[in-house]
Amino acid sequence: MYFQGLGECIRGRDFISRLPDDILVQILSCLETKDAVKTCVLSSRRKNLWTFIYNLHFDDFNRKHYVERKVRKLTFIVDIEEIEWWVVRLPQSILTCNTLKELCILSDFVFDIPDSKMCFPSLKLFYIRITNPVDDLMQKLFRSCPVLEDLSIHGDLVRNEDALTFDIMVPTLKRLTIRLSMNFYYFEGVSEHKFVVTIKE
Amino acid sequence: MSTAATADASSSGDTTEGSVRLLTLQSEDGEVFEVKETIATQSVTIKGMVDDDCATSTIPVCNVTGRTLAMVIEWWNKHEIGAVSNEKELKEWESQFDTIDDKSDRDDVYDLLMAANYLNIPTLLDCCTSAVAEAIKGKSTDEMREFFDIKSDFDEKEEDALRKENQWAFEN
Repeated sequence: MYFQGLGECIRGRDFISRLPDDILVQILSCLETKDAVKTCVLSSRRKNLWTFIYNLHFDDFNRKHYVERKVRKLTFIVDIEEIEWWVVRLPQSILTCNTLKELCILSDFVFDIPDSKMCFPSLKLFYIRITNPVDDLMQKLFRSCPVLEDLSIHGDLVRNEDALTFDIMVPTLKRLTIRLSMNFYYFEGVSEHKFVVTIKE
Repeated sequence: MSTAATADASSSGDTTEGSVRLLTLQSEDGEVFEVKETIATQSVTIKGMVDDDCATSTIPVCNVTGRTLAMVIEWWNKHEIGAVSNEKELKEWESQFDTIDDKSDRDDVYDLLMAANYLNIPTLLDCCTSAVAEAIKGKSTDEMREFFDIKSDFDEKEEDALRKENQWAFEN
């Protein structure tokens, strides 16, 4: 962390009020989303500024609340990696969000993918980090992204004993990154993970 | 603060030092700096000029004073890819921003932020903005108002409505 503790030298109106909106948005984007949203009551100039933030960052993940907000910007980050056992149940509304272009999920997650429908209508970049994913979801999820171009699957599967099948069928895919770390004590199980990649229908 | 490389104003155009091309940058207040191209292209703006072959004569860096440009160049030198950046030395240099309390120096952070934005130096801009964010992190709205001396122009009713609309953010 650079310039740590510059605290006092930015105190006062003449620092923050002179900054142009795009820099203020970048500053707000560094904050936990909750703190960024709170700035809306500071003054009318700041009322809508937070809606331009390009990172959504929920440390104390609370799905009930943010579903009510429109995700207007492109990057969506759920980062609660420090709680290893936690499984995030993502709201179904993410699946149909028209504005969502980048989705990074840095912990295990679940949601229900409907069999018949395509999801993530605008999603171009999808980054996931998994430790103990639901096999059924891994089979369905990567068949449901109609315009996806860049997919990264980072798996820390050291405690995962079940064989997984990743069924990746994305005609528009341009870049695929798969990075797995595994525990060799369970080497037999490891060898059974399967990736099926279909890039043309 | 030491200036990374200063040349007299009469030498314009690109010169080479060994095989490394030097660019000539001129600050708003007329100070001239010669900087290695490999270093100055940490600025996306300058890199664009180099790529478009527009960096053959003196590059005017409007909106940025010599004092600030010298700081930017120091930042570039310390963050050059492959440069043996000594963590301790870097910390020492950065710590100057921790102790600014004199009114005249206090604008350094602001100037650096604006220069990073103008010259499009993502690493410097990221560091500056996250440092500012760090300073306001976890503050209540009252504390933020006090800290930045922001007077609310909402009446009580408007503020209540805003709080209600974004209720989840104000809950603990």
